[in-house]
Parts: sequence; structure tokens; C-alpha cells
Amino acid sequence: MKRVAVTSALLSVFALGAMAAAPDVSERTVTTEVTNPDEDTVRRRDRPEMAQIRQAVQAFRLITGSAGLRPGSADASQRAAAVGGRSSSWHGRIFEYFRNDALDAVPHEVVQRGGERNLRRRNQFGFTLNGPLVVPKLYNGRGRTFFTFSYEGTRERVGRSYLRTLATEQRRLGDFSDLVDKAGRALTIYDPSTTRANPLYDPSGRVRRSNLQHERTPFPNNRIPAHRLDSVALKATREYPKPNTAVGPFYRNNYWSNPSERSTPDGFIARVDHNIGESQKVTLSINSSDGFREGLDIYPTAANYARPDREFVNRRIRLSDTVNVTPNITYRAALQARSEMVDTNSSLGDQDLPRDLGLQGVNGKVFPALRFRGYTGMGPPQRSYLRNSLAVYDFDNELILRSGKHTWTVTSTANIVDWGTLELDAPSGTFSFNERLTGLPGINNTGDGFATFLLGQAWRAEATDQPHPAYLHRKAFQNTVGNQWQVRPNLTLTLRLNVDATSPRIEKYDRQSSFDLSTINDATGTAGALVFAGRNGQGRAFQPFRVRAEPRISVSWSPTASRSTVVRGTLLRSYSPVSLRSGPFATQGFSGRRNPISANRQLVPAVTLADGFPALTNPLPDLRNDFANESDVDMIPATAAQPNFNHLSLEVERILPKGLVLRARGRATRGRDLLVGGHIVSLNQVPLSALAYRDRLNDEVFRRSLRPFPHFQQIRANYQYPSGRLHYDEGQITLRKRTGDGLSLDLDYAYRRRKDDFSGPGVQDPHDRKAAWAHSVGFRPQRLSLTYTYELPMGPGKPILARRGPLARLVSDWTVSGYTRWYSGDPIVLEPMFNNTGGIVRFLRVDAVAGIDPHVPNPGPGGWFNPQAFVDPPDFALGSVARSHPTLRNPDYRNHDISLTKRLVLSQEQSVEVLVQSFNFLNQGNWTDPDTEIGPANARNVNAGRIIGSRGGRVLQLGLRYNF
Amino acid sequence: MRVLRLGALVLLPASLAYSEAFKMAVWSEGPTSALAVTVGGETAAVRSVQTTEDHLILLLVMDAVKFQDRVDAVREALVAKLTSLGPKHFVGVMSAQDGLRVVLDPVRGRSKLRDKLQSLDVRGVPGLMDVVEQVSDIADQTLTSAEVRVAVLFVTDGEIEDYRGDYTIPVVNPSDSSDLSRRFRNQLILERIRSIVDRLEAAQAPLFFLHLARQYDDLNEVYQNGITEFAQTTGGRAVFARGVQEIPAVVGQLLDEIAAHSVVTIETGCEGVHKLEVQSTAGSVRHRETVRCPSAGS
Repeated sequence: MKRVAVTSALLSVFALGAMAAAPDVSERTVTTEVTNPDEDTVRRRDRPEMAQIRQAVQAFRLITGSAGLRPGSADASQRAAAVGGRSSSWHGRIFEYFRNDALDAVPHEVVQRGGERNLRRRNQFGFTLNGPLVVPKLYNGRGRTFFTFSYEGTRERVGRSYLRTLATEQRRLGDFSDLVDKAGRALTIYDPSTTRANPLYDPSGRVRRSNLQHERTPFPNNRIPAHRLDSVALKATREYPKPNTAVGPFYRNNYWSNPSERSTPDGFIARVDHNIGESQKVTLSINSSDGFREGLDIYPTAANYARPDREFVNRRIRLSDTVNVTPNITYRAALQARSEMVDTNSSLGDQDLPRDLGLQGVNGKVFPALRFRGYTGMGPPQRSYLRNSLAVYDFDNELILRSGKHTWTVTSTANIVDWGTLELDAPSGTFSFNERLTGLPGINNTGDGFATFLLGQAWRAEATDQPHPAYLHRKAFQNTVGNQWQVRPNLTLTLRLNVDATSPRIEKYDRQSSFDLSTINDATGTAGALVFAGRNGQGRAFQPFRVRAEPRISVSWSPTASRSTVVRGTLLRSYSPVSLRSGPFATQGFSGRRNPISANRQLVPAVTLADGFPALTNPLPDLRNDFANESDVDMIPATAAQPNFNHLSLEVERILPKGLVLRARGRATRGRDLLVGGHIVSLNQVPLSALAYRDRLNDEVFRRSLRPFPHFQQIRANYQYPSGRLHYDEGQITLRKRTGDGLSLDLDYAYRRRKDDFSGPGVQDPHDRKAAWAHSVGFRPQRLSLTYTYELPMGPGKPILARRGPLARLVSDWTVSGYTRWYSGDPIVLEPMFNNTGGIVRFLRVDAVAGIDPHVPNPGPGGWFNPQAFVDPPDFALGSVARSHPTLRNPDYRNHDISLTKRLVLSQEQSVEVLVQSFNFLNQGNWTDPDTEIGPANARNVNAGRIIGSRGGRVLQLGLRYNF
Repeated sequence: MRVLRLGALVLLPASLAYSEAFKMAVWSEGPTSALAVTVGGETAAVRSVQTTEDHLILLLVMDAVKFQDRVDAVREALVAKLTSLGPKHFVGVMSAQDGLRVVLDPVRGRSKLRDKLQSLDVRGVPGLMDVVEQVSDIADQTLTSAEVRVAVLFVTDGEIEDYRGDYTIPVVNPSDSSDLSRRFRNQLILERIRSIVDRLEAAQAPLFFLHLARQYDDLNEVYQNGITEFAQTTGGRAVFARGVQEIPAVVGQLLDEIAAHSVVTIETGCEGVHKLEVQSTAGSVRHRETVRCPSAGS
């Protein structure tokens, strides 16, 4: 205030003299009455108040002139130094965020397993600097060239918690005398080597214990003799951890692991802006990040069931230019290149684990993926070993023209995607073992997957051979014309048309193939064979160049003069972009996928571990059009259908008294021809009417004769087949409250309904997709959120402790922020325990039991729903309950985060912030989903409908930030 | 800001006397002679009052980077409204994108104002958060230089993401999946807002803001709340247009409000931030809620 007073006094002294020399003071309006305000000429004699305005105007000139804010009023360097206020000097921040498990609550899932801590060590640090670019004696960019540089690094080790089911110590030795089913009843394992036809079998009757088609002899005392154990399985078992807990029921959930994961990312963002004259700006930005994430040791052995170490590299460079050609014409252009890489090669190591196990015929050196139904397996999950390198190039142009009440926007975008992808689903093979080969053929609830493994008899096996990465390429061009038209003063209409042209994917070396429905197969002479890119008249691509029009119309209307209400509406049609998808998909012939087939999955294995994996019959590349015969085949759909959405939204926003704003919105989206996987369209599905053949379906020769393309197994589309349908409706209401005393509060509630015919595990009948129409799996229909920020009313000028002093200084400048989220549960998907459909129904449903309510009065961990309301369907039946249950929902999800910030002012330009952030600060445990496996009436899963525990725990983060 | 002060002192190199006068904007239904002011509960003497009969200098700070059509609407609405308000209203124009600059000294002539506004480019990087303190300082010095009223109207359309300063905490390491430091992404904006508000507590001229493009995402909500707080701290107001169709009405409302304010000069002997109360026996009074008094020797 003193400064202002001093300046004021000085100005008073100097004003008169300055005015005398000042040209055109107030446009020479030293006049008392100006009848036409647009006239700039002097008309009449001054009155005293005019002297005041002249003095003020002159003061303004002096102040701004001395600060170098006036064109030509100061020398260039002074002006350059003054321009931009804060942007004339360097600013930034240095920060550190710290987390340690000593500050955290022990997560619920750890407490429930008897754990006392969950390791967490995290330091996140960095800095940001921005300001004018100045290189002493070389370049002074004040006022025209600015830079921003941010660095951030993290050093972290954090624990993860897993509860798994492993084979008991007894079973690992072949002793299954402790084996029980999920109802707790003893289970018998049978010796597959004793399989024989039952001479008393009556083909006119159903297969049942009293009418077996094939007989087997049980292992004596439910024990597999040691000499029968497969040598490879036996060695692999040495790497299988032993159970270490007993959560249950019945030996299930018996292994708890709490390994830690190390992550060490480092990265920076650099940006330079340069103004060329008054009307052009060029910006260059560079992002770079290198990350490393150590694989988790869920098992502390070579058989670890977890992803290996991964390296991440992200780079981006963007150059943009904005030119104001005239006040009514603006042109913008941007060129961007971006790359992302994920690589697990560093974790391959030198050890040849398949060789150590004695497993023959696989190319990889990592542990083979061994999967046993009912247990957690060994070896890496799918897609663990990969090297994916994505490069994206974008060139954008935008021209904005304004004319009267119209603003025209013309944009064009070119987008090029290159993807080098090497993904090995199973570098050392995936071997799947189920209970059928050690059970009674055709009888549910007999046998055991781990027992079958010990015998080395895999019902399904797969090995991937991909000698080269696939170098996939796609171009896309978009041209958009838009017009914003102010129809009336209170009504704006926006029309836009986007025309998108997208090329199909091609491979750099034409190492692509696809299943073609009409090509004659050389081996069988029937329709359906592989075709190869660039060969035999086939073009380089398998899909056409697509041109799509995306119109959009939106309106904004203020119905009242008070502008308290605004109404907005939008109607548009859009298409999904064409996906490239990663991995060796549709490169068969150049890559190979060996998946030997069992002649009857109940009677004989596809592969025995000790015998090893059958080799490819010919070396790669193998460009015979029957290369994929007898196995799964990849298809790039050439259908003209394209995934599209029609979207309508209507919104009303109204300003209410007392700082309240209410916003109500309704949205409806209809999607058609959405991209789904081959398991949804099932082009090679045996018709479901064939279920009438019952147990004959287990015979591979018979089953394949029923397929549309008998010489192939599944036709895989890798989520590129356009046939999904979706309805999405949403009603949302938002209430915002602002007060002048530092409180802002947003309350938002949305009720959403989403139905489709493809989400979740899959559909049963690809020819009757209406039967699959159900609530979307994994979608939570209701959401409530509360977001708030409140500057605590303490300290000088505030209601509490307003007087100055040390205490006031301590309690002032505290801000509390928080997020609270609640989501309702997603639909429950009920699963039968057994699937005895001869392998033609992959996604079986349960039956409803008439007269029993599936809901329970007070859902809790002891019973979330009533499993007695459901039952496994009979053998060779589909099940009648919807794909996702129409009314049963999984537990809801709640989370509350809060942040407390103390700001310490060091000077006008410097401050320190102390941050205390607590995530899930109420230490809320969210229930895990209930067990949804039902079981047949005579052997129900005793755990069905129950919840095994809860997850989550309070995490505290401390931060220190120095701003300057 | 530092340069501004130094510059002013270089040109006006003398120190006269310490003054405890403080000017503030007041909207009063009744005659301003009936006003009683307390600061921190202590009565403050009213030294003088400039009413709506006195001249007004409106400093118009243009900070538009995106929507030329909305700026066109503002220009037309401003000129039309100022014409109707009459000759006591002078308008100066400054530009804030990529640094603060004077475009037009305060004038009464509307044709020159229209021309200058028309010549301004809608381009660059928004500067509101960088220059608001500097503009406030200029307005205060102008206000205290004479017996006039001074108000500032920022016209902006920038979003928080448009700033050169790194307020949005962009993700640096995409592979850092455990990063929770960005859960409260609004904190850098809040810090900057607090820093500005601290300094605006000592400001005297009211600041008004017209944002031409209301945004609804979390970060822009915080940014827009901050703009509202800047206005409220100085006794002004912030308005956010939700479409071009709202702009004429909004401009009219804002200019009516600006034109209707009086400037009350009080004498205070306090230090630090205090609650301000202005009462009138002749009707309701609207005014800022706090004031930062000058500390001794400041």
C-alpha cells in the first residue's frame, strides 16, 4: 500500500508536466461532454474531473512505459525482460514423493493370510524448469523463445499378494487319497492305461455309471505307482512350490505368496516454444522414458507362474506450427513421431529349462506352461515373452476460417502405424491337463487334472514358432469439414463431416496369410484354405481400403435471456479405427502353431510329456495352402461390415442460487458390427443341434465331420471380426457447489445400462446372437463420486485464529482435497462346474432351479447369493440362465482418497509444499467377487456364493515440493 | 513484476510519505455517504468515495488463444454496451498471451477501441495466470494516481492445458504403474492459485473475468474456481460462458456491474489480512470480504 501511495504521489507531481508533452492523451478527449463517444476531437473546455482522468491515463502510460509494456516505449532488452511477467524469468519445482510400508495399513488380503506387512519402498523424485531460453553470449530468447524441461525418476519395490491352489505334498507324489470334490466327497482317479470298451454298453441309453461306454480301473488306494509317473512331469514337480497355508475349503487356496516387484523408470519431457513475429508460433516437444519392471517371484522357482522382467521404452517428438494468416484465418500444422517398446528378451537367460526337464520338440528355453484344471499351473502366463515395437507417425493440418456468423474448420490428418511384433504365446509349449483322462469316460466329477499331469497326458498342447517378428503397417487419412453457425443470438449450431480413409494392414515382407472360405484346399479338395499375401493373385492385404463418413451435428441453446440455463444436444455417427493387433496372428506359414489333437479327449492324450512335442513337418516358411490343416487357423475377416456407433446426447445445465450449478445429461449409444473374437462368431462351430449325438461327439473324427470346415479346428479372428452389438444408455446428474471461502464440491451420480451380445466368456450359439444378449460383463451400472477441495478457514483473514503470530502461521494455508468413489457391482456370471458337451459348447451356462430365489436377504461373505437357485445343466445341454445374470451383482467398490497440503511461503516467488496424501484413507476393504462355480445337484460346490476375503488397505504418501 | 516496480521507481525517484489509504470497490444500494467500514473489527475512516458519477477506466486484458468467433462476439458486445454506458467510461486494452503488452491506452472513443480489438490475434499461449498480478499492480497504481475508478476485465478462453507452465503434471514415465502422485493432479494449479490470491489480497482495483469457454473436466474446474477466487478476492466477479450465444448477455451484465461500482478510500492502521465489513444505513452493500493491510515498512 505504501508503494502505491508513493507512486501515486510521484505521479501527481509529474503528471502535469508529462501531460503537456504527451500526445493524444485520452485520444485528445480533454472535453467535458462528448455527445458522440466515437468522436475523438477536443470540443469543450476541461472540467476539474477531466483533470483526474487525464492524470490517471497519464499514470497508466508512465507505469506501463516504465515496465516496458508499450511498443517502442522502452529499449528492446528492457521490454523483452518485462514481457510476460512470470514468463520473463525461470520458474519450476523440485519434488520428492515418499512411500514406505511402515506408514501404511497392512492390506486386508495380507492380514487375512496372517501376514504382518506388505513391502513398499518408493521414492519418486524430479524437477521441472521453465522460462525464457537464454544462452549467455549466444542467444537471448526472452519474449520469444521459451522452454520447459521436466525430469522424473522412481525407485520402487512393492509387494503383491496372491492366493493360489497348488497340489498338496501328498498328491505331488502321486498319492490322491486326500482328493475330494468341491462338495467334500472323496474322488477317485482312474488309470487311463486300463481304458477298454465296455462289452455291456447299451448305445440306446445314455452314458452313466451303470452304462459306461468305456471302462477304467481305479488306481489302487487312489495312488499312482511311482513307476507310472511321467519323467518330465516328475522333474517339473520339483519346481512346484509346496502349499503354505490352508484357507480352504478342501485343500483349496493353500498357497499364499507376497513377492515384491522392482520398478525403476526414468524419463523427461522437453519443450521449446518459439514465436516468429507476432503471428506465428513453433513448438518442439520431446518425451523420453525408459522403464524396467522386475518380474514377480510368485513361485521362487524356475516354474514361476508370473510375467518375466520387462523393459519399456517410450519416445515421442512433436513439431507444431501455428500461423495467424489474418485475424480471420488461422493455420495449424503438427508433425509427430512416437514409439513404444516392450521387451522381455533380457529375462530369457542362458538356461535351457525344457532340456533340463527332458522335454523334447520345443524351441524355447523358458519353463513350459503346464496347466492343470483345478490348480494353479507352472510356467509363464500367455503372452509373457514378447518384443513389441510400435512406431506411429502423425501429420495434422487445420485451417480455421471465420466469416460472419460462420466459423469453418477444415482439418486433414495422416496417420501411419508401423508395428514390429514378436509374441510367443508358448515359447516352450503350453500343455493342458484335465480330469477326464484320469476319470471315468463320460462321467463328471471323476479324475483329477494334476493326476493326469503326473501321468504326462495332455489333452491339449500348443507350441508357437515365430522365427521373425511381423512388421505390420497401416495408413489412415482423415479429412474433416466443420461449420459453427450462430443461427440466432442464443442458438449455435455445429455441423461436421469427417471422412476417414484407412488402409488395411500389410506386412513389410508380405509375411501374412489368412484363411479364405472359398479357396480349395490342396490336401482335401474342399473349400477353405490359407492364402498368402502377394502370392497366387492375392494382393498384399486381405481387407479393402475403407472410406467412411462420420457426420456430427450439435446444438447449444440458451432458452432464457438470463443465461441461467443452457441446453446442448449432439447426434453423431462414428466408426472404430481398424486395429492391427499384435503377435503372430495371421502369419501362419511364416510362423507356425503346433497344436496336436487328441483322437478322443476322454480316452487318449494329444501329447505325452515324456514323448515330447511333435515337430513341424516342414521347415518355415511353409507356404502350402493346407499348412494349417488339422489345427486352429487365423482369418482376417474380409467382410464389408465396419464397427460403428450412433450416439445421441442431451444435456441441460442450470445455474442455481447460492453458487450451485446443476447439470443433467442423458446419453444413448448404439453400436453395431463391433469387433469381437473368433470365439464369439465361431465360424467353424459344430451346430448345437449336434448335441443330440451326445457321447459320440467326444470322437474327434466324428466331431470334425460336423464342422463347416472339417479339416480345421477353430477359426481365430483375434478380435477383428465385426459382428458385436451394443446398447448403452446413461443418465447423469452433477451438482457443483462453489463458495467464496475456498470450498468447491462436486457431486456426481450416473446410472448406466449397457447390454451387448459378446462380452464375458463367450456365446453359445453364433447363429443365435439374440440368445446372448445380456448385461455387459464387467460393467458397473451405477457410479457416485464426490470431489472436494477446501481451504481450511484458519489463519489471518480467516474465521479461526485470525490474529497474526506463530500459531496463525502454522495453521494457515492448509488445503484439504479428496475423492470419494462408489461403484455398484457388475453382473455375476455363473459357471457350471463341469462341461460334458463333447467339446462343442465352450461356454456352458447353468440352469435355474424353479421356485428358489437367487437373492439372499443380507448378502455377505458367508453367502452373497443363493447357489441353491442354480444347478449345472445335464450332460449335453446348454443351461438356461442368461450369459450374465440379470439381477445378481458382484460386490460394490468404494474408495476414499484424501490429500492435505501445507503451503509455506518463502517469498513472493518461492514456496514449499508439504503433502500428506492418503489413499483409501478409511482403510476400506472391498470384497472380492463370490465363487460363481455351481456344480451338479449331487456334488455342489460348497463354496459357491461365498466370498473368500477382501482387498485393499490404506496407503500413505508424503511429498515435499519446492516451487520457485 | 519486480521489473515493473523498479521501472516505476527509476522514473519517479523519490519517496514522499507513508500512507495507509486503501481503495476498494463497493456496490451500494443507497448513497455512499452512509457507508461505515470496519477492518478486522476496527473502524476505518472513510477518506473519500468515487461514485458512478466519476470517471471509470476499464482495463480490458485480452487473453484469447482459441475462439475467434467468441472474441468477435465479445468485441461487438463490448463496444455496443460501452456506447450505451456513456462518455465517462474509458477503456484501455492490453494483451496477455505470450506476455503482457499495452495495445491501447484508455480512451473514450469506441471506433478506435473496435479497431484495436479487431486487430488482436487469437493465438499463442494463455497468460492470465502469469500476468494477473502484474495487471492488478498496474490497475492499483492507476487507481491511486487520481480520483477515478479503475476496474480490470480479463477476457480469456484458455484451458489449463494450454499454459506453457507445467500445471497439469503430464505423465513422464508411462511404465510407472504405481504412480499415485498424479491422483491429485490439481495441486500445482492450486499452489499457483494460492500464490496469486495471496498477492491479490493487497490489490485495490476489482478484477473481473470473462471466460469464453467453460470447461468441465476436473483440472479446468480447479482452474476456473481459481479465476473465480481471483475475482472474489478483489471484489470483482468471474463469469464463464457456455457458448457463443451467451456472450452478449454476459458482457452486458459484467459491464453493468463494473459501471455500477463505487470506490471507497479508507484509512487503516492494521497489518496483515483482515476481515472487511462495509455497512450502510441505506441499503445492502456488496464488497470484498478480506483485505491485506500494509505492514509497517512495506
